[in-house]
Amino acid sequence: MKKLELTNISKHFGEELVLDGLNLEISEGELVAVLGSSGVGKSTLIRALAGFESIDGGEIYLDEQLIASKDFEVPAEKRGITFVPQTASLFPHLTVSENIAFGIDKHDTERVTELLKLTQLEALADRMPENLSGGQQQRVSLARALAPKPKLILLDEPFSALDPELREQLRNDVRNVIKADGATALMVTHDQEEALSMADRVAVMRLGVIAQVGDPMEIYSAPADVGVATFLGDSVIIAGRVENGKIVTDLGKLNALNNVTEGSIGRVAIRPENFYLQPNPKAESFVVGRTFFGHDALLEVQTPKLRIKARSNGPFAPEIGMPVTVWVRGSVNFYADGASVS
Amino acid sequence: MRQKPPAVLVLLAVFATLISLVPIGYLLFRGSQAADQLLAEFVRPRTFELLTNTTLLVVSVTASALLIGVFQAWLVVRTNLPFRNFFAVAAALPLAMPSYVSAFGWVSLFPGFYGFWPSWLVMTLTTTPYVYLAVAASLASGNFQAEEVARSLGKNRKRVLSEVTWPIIRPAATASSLLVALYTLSEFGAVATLRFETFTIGVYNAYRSSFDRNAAAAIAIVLVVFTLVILFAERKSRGRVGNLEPHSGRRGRINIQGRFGFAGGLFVFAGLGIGVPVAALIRWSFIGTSSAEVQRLFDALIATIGYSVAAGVIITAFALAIALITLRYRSTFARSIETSVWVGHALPGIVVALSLVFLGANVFPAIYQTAWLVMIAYVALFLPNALAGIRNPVSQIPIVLDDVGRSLGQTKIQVLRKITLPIVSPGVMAALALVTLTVMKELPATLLLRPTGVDTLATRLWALTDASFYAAAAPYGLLLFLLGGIPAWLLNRQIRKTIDATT
Repeated sequence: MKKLELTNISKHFGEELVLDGLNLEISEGELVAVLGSSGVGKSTLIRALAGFESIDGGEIYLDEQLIASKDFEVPAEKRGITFVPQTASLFPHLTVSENIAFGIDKHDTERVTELLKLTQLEALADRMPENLSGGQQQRVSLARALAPKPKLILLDEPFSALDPELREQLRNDVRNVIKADGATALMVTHDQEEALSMADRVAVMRLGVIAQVGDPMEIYSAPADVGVATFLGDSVIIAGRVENGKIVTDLGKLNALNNVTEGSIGRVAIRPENFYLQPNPKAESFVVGRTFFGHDALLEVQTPKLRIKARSNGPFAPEIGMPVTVWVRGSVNFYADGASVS
Repeated sequence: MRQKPPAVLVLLAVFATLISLVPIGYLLFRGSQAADQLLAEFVRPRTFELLTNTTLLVVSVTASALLIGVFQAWLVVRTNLPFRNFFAVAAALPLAMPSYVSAFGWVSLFPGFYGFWPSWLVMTLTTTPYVYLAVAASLASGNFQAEEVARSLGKNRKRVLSEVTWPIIRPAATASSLLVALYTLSEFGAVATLRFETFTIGVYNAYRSSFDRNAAAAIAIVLVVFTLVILFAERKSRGRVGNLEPHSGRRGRINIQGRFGFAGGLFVFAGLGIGVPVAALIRWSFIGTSSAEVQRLFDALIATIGYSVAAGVIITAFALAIALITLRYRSTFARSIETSVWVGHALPGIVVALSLVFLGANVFPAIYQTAWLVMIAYVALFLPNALAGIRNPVSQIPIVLDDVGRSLGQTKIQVLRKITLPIVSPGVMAALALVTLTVMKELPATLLLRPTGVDTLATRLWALTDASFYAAAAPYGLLLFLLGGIPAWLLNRQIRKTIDATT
């Protein structure tokens, strides 16, 4: 069932067009991540959904009810949309349980207890926020937002203020809590790993529009265009031409994942981990650079016509100067010039 | 579009702004009505004499307060001065002594202590702590590793002082000495007691002697112009304050030659500022007073507390509304409110009082000579003080808390009641206490506007001093000193915390 529907949302700040005809749908119980670098309008999107920013065009429907358009706005407190801000932003004068109970009937101790348990905060129920660690504060903030059983919960870069180790642990916790509570959630983030590992679906946002929506695996392996491909991770971009159903490139003939038009010219995007380097004394390509990361290594390889980046198993990575044959694993995405893949 | 502020806040803020603008607005209105007469007043030799006197006093007091205050601060914070902790407090202590109580002390101990030099001395003693506190704070929080770097680059002590240290403290020194100039310009009680005619006394005398409203208004307008010039300079200089990098690491104290001599000097200065007036208050209090005067003292105390608490509550409520609007809902509307309120800050108490006398007598006879008019004067005069105290705690509440509260189903008013007010209440209480205690000491506006038959501690002290009834006046001065000591003590704890935390 459709929980949230955004149709053609636009928003200006002065001359600047921050949201430019944005469309997005979220189903009941789904956790969707809007992924984009800073300045693409993620925060504006969140604020427009929560009701703190009005929109200049388009419509927002929640449970198929209009909640915002150019001329109509349900006030923030009546939307049933709660949010978890970047910093936990707990009410400093209230205890953990009072914070959680803030949006619900004071006497509903059952719900508070349930959330304390869900977020593993039972022992801290009577603490004041100043006596909590960053991760604990963020869990309280989540519990507070879930407490009124909102129609939608918004998470605004909820882990960016935390240190990396804590972040990874908390990602799992947060996802599990949201799922256990059956909530529908929209998260915005600039962190690819965060979006790909937490979300049911990822929406890649680019300058006021959603460039591509799909499940994390699909987004990563079949990006809609070169821009999405490079944004989601390292990519080697090579020019190619379609001949006899194959893509002819400087790395040889490659199989296309998507449908291609015979004779069209374009580019392919290959992830560094999709190269396989085979040591071969007669090969004409050589390893010219190597950065060792432990579990893997990033190699720079000079082929007769190109320089590429390839990821290799760390301890067994070929050494600098070694001649190697470059293979491409599996099929690749071909992006014809002037068109994008559907 | 940013959210609109709740209507109740807007109402309070607009009302407060109107009250702040009434005195200057009405004065200018009167001025424009009688422009010819006013012009004649401006060019009278009397006006020129007042201008000379005022300029002389303002410049000399500002210069001496600046020199002494900076030197005190440097000695206390940066050198191996003996008994530093004692002097850190002693240098700020004259703040506890209202200027006119200090003037009373000197005059009552040294008959005939009248004129320019006594006024200069008493005003310097009263205002030096403002420079001292501001400069000490900037010295304590500045990054003085730059001094050590400069030494290592081959600069001698003197050049380090002029090329590194002075630029760091200059913003604080400039801003605070301009405040001293404003303070001296609007001073009424002390210069009146010491019989030196500045603009404020000129306004009062013109009003009192002949009820010549136009003469009084003309002098008041010159005074306002003078004040606005200084205020403008002060605002200009303020933009540069507070950009100090927090210092890091330990730093050494500068060893000075003859440190006990300097300690002696500081001791004498503190003695003049606080010792002489306190000695006078105690001496005259021992002589005793009539039982009728004891009853009047009690009445004055009750009236003072009633007026100041009422004014404190009203002013703090207004200030809170303005702080919330200006800090949480930035808009042109919010900015213009703030600017208007600062206008009140520019006006000397005597000018506000005079303007409200006109207004009360001519436009609102129903509130003339009632406590309401006194309250209006207090709001116009002290709203900026309360605002300064409240801005900081309000600005520390993240706006996102409001958003979270709203998203959890609370209206703006509920958010205000359940989140903002509880969090900000300690800051509000502190501001309330400070404003109340400041209002208690107010003299000129209370003097002109109070209902007939009502006296506050300040007005009764003034009347008794004027008539040279020193023994009867002393208990009033003692009470005012003790009440004035409380905010000074609060301020001092603050400065001690800053200095301690950084040394």
